[in-house]
Amino acid sequence: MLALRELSVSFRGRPVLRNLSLDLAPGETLGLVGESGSGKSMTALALMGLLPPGFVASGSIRLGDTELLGLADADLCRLRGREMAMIFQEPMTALNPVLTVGAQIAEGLVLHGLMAPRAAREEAIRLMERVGLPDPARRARSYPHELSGGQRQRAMIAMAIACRPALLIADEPTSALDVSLQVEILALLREIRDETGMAMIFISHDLSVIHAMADRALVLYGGLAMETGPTRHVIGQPAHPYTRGLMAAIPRGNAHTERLRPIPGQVPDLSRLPPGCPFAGRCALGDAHCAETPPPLRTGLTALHCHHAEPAPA
Amino acid sequence: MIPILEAVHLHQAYPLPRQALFERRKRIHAVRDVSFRLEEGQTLGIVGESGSGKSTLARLLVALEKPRSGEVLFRGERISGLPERSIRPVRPLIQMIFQDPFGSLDPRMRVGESIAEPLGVAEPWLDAGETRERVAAMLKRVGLQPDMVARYPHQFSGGQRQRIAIARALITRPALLVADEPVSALDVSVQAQILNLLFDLKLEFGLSMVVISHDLAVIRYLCDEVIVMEGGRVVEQAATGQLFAAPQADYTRALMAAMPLLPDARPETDPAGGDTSPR
Repeated sequence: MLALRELSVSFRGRPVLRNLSLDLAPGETLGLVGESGSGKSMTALALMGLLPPGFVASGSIRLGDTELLGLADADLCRLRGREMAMIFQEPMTALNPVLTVGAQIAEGLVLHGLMAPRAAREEAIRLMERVGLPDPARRARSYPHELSGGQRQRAMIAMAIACRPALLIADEPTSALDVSLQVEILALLREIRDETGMAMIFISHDLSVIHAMADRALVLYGGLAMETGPTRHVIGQPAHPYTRGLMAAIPRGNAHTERLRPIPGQVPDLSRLPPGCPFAGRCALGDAHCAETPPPLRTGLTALHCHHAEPAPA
Repeated sequence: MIPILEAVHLHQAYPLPRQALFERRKRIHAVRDVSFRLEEGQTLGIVGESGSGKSTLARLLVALEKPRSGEVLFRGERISGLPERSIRPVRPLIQMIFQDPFGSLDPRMRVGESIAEPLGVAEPWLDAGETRERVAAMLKRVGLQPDMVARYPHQFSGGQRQRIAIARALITRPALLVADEPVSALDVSVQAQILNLLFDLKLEFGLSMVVISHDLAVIRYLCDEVIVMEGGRVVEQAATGQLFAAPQADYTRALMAAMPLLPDARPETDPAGGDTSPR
């Protein structure tokens, strides 16, 4: 349904995302994991055709039979909201503050010619009920600032699923929420995915959230896919030194007895990435060859880009 | 032994804006009847969701706010509800770090000056050379290069800025460090470095610490004792091991159930190395 081939994004000639290829089937969820500057949000924006000025994408993004790269703005607009939709970390900045919540949810349905305004308003109330907003008929007339953080996130989900898109991209949808709200929103997204059969790309820096949501996981670092495969293998039997380092950096006990082993160094500035493996400077296995030459793809239980590590045999 | 920090029936409330002109002013009770003792050298965790009152409690503990009732004792002496002049001698002994070090560092001040600033208040007799030495030694201790003193905050990454904030907090050799969400804004790989740094510094400086976090894993890692807050009240207080093994309060159990867990797949050998020093 969705196929990325050698997708690269650059800014002023510097690569921000390098040769990303992936496939996604209907009903499937792919988790994109990465730290800041890994390129995970750039991937989402490239998919939506929303890259900021100055960013150039190359390669191929196919959604169904349509090639999205190089598509005219007007054609992209017809797809956005209808075929693919996105939800963001901070709904307050993504919602329009001067429109009622109900109007914003109904807007896409009218715009894409799916419903007349009156029917769309009723559908908006039904959607708000579906995402668990209390008293939806009254809430539909509220403005975003009158809702709590969790309610705003629910409203944004209602807006995103209104036209039953084939692909939903969720960029850190629960990172700004308290843990108890986080579980509720994750459960809601899973239910809606299973009901509608839509495919989902779930972006998070939090491996435990990816573990809870995604069938497959893709670990990005410095714009390059480090490791990808079924989530339980990527998290349970990681082979790439970066994935293993990330797992070892998550606190699971007390410092007196279970001291953390952090990855040394800093997340690199994208403008100072080596031409080879972006993790070369922080990796215990890294050498001069790693920094110079892009790592080859090795495939086993998981697929990884690394000069040294071997995936577990499939 | 006298505890380093003691809270006695602390209560804090803020007035809400009036809805009508002659309406009685309503108050929101941010902290309700909180009491605890923190022994020297121990780390106390305060955990709760947003609005639970944990940050208000932190500000009361470091005497940035006056409680509505109750008191805060530092080594047996009351520090709450006093005029600033009376608290000033104690201030260098109680330091605080925040979630966003960018917000707590002056963007127009060179990092060296920022770190030296509290020293000028606490030990005004130091000359320029002695101050420089202390700053350089502190920078080195938190894992930064001493020659970084001339740079400005924006020239550092998030993790480096938190190291700078820690250097600034510890330069006066405090006895108590209050850390409000110290790693929440950091990337996973950097978060682990700062957690280890805080733990090592605590042992090395004989610090007592209060760590505030919404993240149970961070609390479990750093703390000896934990307070769980909900709606301004303490709903549970226990030793860390005991709290995580057998949570008693319903709210604590709900929080733990909501904490997404990873399967235990720690790699036996760690190719990324186990080094805490940045490169």
